[in-house]
Amino acid sequence: MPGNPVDVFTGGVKLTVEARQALIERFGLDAPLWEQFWRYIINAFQGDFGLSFYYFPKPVWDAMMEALPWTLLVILSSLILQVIIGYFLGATAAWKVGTKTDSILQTFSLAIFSAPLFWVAMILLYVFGFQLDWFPLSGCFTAGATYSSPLEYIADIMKHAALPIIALTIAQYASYQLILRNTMVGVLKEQYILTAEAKGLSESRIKYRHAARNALLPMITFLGVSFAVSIGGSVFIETVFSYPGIGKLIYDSVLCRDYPLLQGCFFMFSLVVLVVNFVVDIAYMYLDPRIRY
Amino acid sequence: MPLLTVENLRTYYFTEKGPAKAVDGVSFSVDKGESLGIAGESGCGKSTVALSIMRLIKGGKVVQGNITLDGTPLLDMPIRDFRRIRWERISLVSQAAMGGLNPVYRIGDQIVEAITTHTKSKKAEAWKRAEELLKQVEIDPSRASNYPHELSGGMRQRAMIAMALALNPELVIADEPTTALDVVTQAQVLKLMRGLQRELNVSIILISHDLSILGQTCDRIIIMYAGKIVEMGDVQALFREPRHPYTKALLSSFPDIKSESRTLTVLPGSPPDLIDTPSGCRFYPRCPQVQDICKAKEPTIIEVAPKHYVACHQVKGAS
Amino acid sequence: MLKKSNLIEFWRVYKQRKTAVFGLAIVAVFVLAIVFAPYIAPYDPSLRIGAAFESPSWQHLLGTNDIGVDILSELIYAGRISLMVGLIAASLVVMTGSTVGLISGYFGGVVDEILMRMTDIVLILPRFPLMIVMAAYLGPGMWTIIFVYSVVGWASLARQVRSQVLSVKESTFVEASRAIGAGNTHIMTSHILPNIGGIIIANGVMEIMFAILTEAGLSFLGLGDPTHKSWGVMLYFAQIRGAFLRGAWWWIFPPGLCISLISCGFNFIGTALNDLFGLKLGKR
Repeated sequence: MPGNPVDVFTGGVKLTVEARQALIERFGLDAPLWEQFWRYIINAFQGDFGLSFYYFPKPVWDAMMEALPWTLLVILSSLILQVIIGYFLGATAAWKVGTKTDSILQTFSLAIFSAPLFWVAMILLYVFGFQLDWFPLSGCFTAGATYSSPLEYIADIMKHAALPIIALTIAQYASYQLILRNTMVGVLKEQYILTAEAKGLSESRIKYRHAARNALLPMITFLGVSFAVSIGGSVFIETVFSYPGIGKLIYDSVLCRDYPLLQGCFFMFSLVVLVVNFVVDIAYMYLDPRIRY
Repeated sequence: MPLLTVENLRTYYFTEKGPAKAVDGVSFSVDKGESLGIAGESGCGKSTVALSIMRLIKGGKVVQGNITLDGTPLLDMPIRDFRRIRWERISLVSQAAMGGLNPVYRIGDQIVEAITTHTKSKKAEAWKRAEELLKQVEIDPSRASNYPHELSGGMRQRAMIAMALALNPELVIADEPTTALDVVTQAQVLKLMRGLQRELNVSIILISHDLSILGQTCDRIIIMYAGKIVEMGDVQALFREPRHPYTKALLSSFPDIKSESRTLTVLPGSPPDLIDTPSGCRFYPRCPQVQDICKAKEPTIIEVAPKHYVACHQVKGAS
Repeated sequence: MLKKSNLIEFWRVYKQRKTAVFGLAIVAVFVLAIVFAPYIAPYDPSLRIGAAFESPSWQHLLGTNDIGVDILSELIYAGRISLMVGLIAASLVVMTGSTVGLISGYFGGVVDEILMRMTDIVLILPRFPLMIVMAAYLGPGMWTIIFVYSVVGWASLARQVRSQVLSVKESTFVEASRAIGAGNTHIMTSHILPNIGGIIIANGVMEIMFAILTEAGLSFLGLGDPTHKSWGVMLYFAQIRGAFLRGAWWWIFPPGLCISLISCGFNFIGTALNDLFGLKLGKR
């Protein structure tokens, strides 16, 4: 870490020797390094990540807990949309594999996927926020507003979350489409699809309830990875939209060299990713009757 | 009047090098309550015949032919109407052990789906019917709540049969129904099929490369080779007096425990290219009785005995 | 493997995919523009030529930024940085990843175990946050970005190369080679390498795309080098110098569009290569 943490904390203000020593003791910086690390881990598991430099004396934990729900709102909503869009587009592409529809869908989605997330966010903000004024420009709800009903509150929140969710969805849905399509092309060659057709079922029923349903599993596995990627993406989204989630917290802490906050957020991210992966494993078990522990 | 007639069916698959003539001029009929077997080696076109009847050809098309069910032409029917024929009047049993059943839905659900798609039954009624059907194929009805992987190969096949009978079809096409099963299970399934067929007076088209199965279960047999019919007749007549060299070879390739010879007669060579079909009789490159005329002219099907048809230049007509 | 006839055949198949050709064309255009920047760019991007926030005109096709620098010129020169960082970072990742994968897969045993544990650890951590944290500690700059990208990015390629090496290793012609008494190096170079060459190249191209996008992202967050402006850095300045408030769309759109187009180009090429090599190996 560049520079003594105390100096960073004080922003370079000159301190008296005693004051400096007091600070060092306060932060436990006089203990050997390994002990500091160990204490950090133990505290972390108790939810104590220390105090933020920038928001001093607010504990890092509090800052993170305030921001986390907003990030989760955006990411989870977006993931649901991504899966749905990817499901329908992927199934259509696979059903019409080899035809123009398939090529167009593939190419289009690949192209969109190549655009940098933060730029997509910027464009959306510019067009729909600044120029058309359809959506608010920052924040997660209108500051200082009073609401006559919980419904109004929810509506306000959704209006603020809309652009971030849309941006994230546009940037990332393509993977789901690709995965489903590729898996489903294999599924369509299976005997039970022939049986389904012989049973006189309608095309859409075969496409979605027989073929796509069997191709679903790799998509679900991908949810774990996708979540981790989205978390990375949230840094950009929240920065562009000035949305007070964990991503923005990370960004701010980088700008201000708020190391405790940065570390805390990073720790939190890894933890959340692990939890989500665990949930995904459970969901997988539920969806594939062949795997039941 | 026969239940199903197939006239001059030609189904070709599209390949990069040109159309593969999988079925090239096949005609036959099936009567009510009759069990017809179609035999031949892999690639002879027997499955393609089945798929053509069900209009399930992928990567190819029926380029010529008439198929009628009870007088009604099937091939030109709009697909929406044809979907009503599917399963209600003609159903298909494929190799369940190899994935004919959807692995993520319960057996009961899959049978119920067939029922609710075609009739106005409610789910509960349909479920009851599914359980009855399973009983008919000697599966404990409580197994309806199981998934395909929880059933043995033989049970899965029987479940497929149950599903095929769900709407009381007039014709069931079974494509290699016992191929992946062990001999004992095979016998069970075949016995069951024969029993059900007689009881319900359903017509069956049974497709297999294994002539012995067809011998046990069918009334009449068609032998196909390279997209054409080479011999067709009552099962007794065919087995006792095979006329076509290919049929003779097929029959003699089975090890007979009572015979004296210790070696298997093997038919040399391999089936012809379906894209670049040889002129004349398709079998001539492998035929032990080949003459010059066989290479030049294609043999036509002639009736050599009552209801016994052969396509071979070496076989004299009935009269 | 690099015989002329092979290359000609390869090009013939490659040409059939329109997207692949399109991708190649885009990348070629960009590379040319970047190489010939001094001849193409109308002005010197370090000079303040015009008034601030001028909208596009015949004098300044893409307008000017907040300090009056011509954006089109800035854009063309920025391409050099974006592409260079992308290429260097991707090369490092490919070299590290393939080496690890090759050694791990070929030698197996303890070496494999250790390397795979390391790979797992790297894979499990969220990439972007980790890069951001590391870049924050190391201080912003081009080489920081290249470094953090390499540290985080080699693992996935290592995994893929390793599994390919394993499957080649088990194949019969390697067994035969060994039976004749071929040594390790020989087997590695004449059997394994040609077979993994395909994945390495295809993935390498995709890595270039990811590297460019990552550099853009990190620069946008302020972790890039303000003195060597890449497209990402241009967007960083656009954001903090109030391009939105001034409605300076000519500053916001073009850099992002360039990033998107060149990524798209590499993406198309990489996907086509992936399919082609997959087909050649008979896998998929």
